[in-house]
Amino acid sequence: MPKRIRLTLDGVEAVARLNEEAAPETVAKFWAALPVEETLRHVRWGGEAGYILIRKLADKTQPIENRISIYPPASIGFRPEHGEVAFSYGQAQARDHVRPATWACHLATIETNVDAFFAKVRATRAEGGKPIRLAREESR
Amino acid sequence: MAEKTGDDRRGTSIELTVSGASARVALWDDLAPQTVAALLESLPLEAPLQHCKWSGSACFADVSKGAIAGVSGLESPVVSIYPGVLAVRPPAPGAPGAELLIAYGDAEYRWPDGRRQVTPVGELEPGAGAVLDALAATAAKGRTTIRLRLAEGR
Repeated sequence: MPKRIRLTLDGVEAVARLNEEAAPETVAKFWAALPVEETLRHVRWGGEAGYILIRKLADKTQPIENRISIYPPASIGFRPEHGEVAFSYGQAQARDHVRPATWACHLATIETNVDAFFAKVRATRAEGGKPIRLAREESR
Repeated sequence: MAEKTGDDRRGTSIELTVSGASARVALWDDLAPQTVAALLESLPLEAPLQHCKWSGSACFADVSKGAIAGVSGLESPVVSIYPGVLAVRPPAPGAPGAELLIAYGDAEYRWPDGRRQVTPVGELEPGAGAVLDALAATAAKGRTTIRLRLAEGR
């Protein structure tokens, strides 16, 4: 059965399926790091997405599995060099101050309550950071 | 009072206020005479200010009214916007009105399809740390308001 995580963003819940077959090493490390509680903020370089940093997952040597540059809608991207987890609600891409385009791992795809969840992500731009919790779905 | 000429405007300062923090901006009349003139004609100006989503450590405000919203073309165009620099993106296809940008850190004007250019119009004068902090805070706190007006004793 695919691994799933439960996201709780400012009171709104959603479930995402992890792309374990395509990104086994990344998913294993991410799964081991859960649960995570952070503040979701809007990205500054990558377009229409929010992000958190999981410092303990930052690893500049980790290969990027299941590579994407443009984030598909409802996707969760992971950049191991920063431990950055990005949630894209619209047009978004892995970018930073040095590189106009780079790579991220397509870690997961949100399956439930997509519109309400991403409305909250979008709102971080105007309203500021919001609390988010990521937990293994099996733990509920 | 006689209308100011281009030379008279050299060294003009305006006051910029963000989230209660204020500082003076020295305008670059020599680099961008038409854009600076349009900006001055548009004052006082107040607009919602948000953090950029493609361009890095900078904030922007859409300006749809006044002379600045109708300014034509770029002057001394740049892509990088240095900390404390105020810049204007003139109306462009698909983007009516002007965009006012101000950087507090590393910033480069970008759209989804790549880099674009802006007109640099001035720079915060020394001692503007509180304004830079207020700009940076929009990344965590969200939207605020920017106000521009002629500085006293400019």
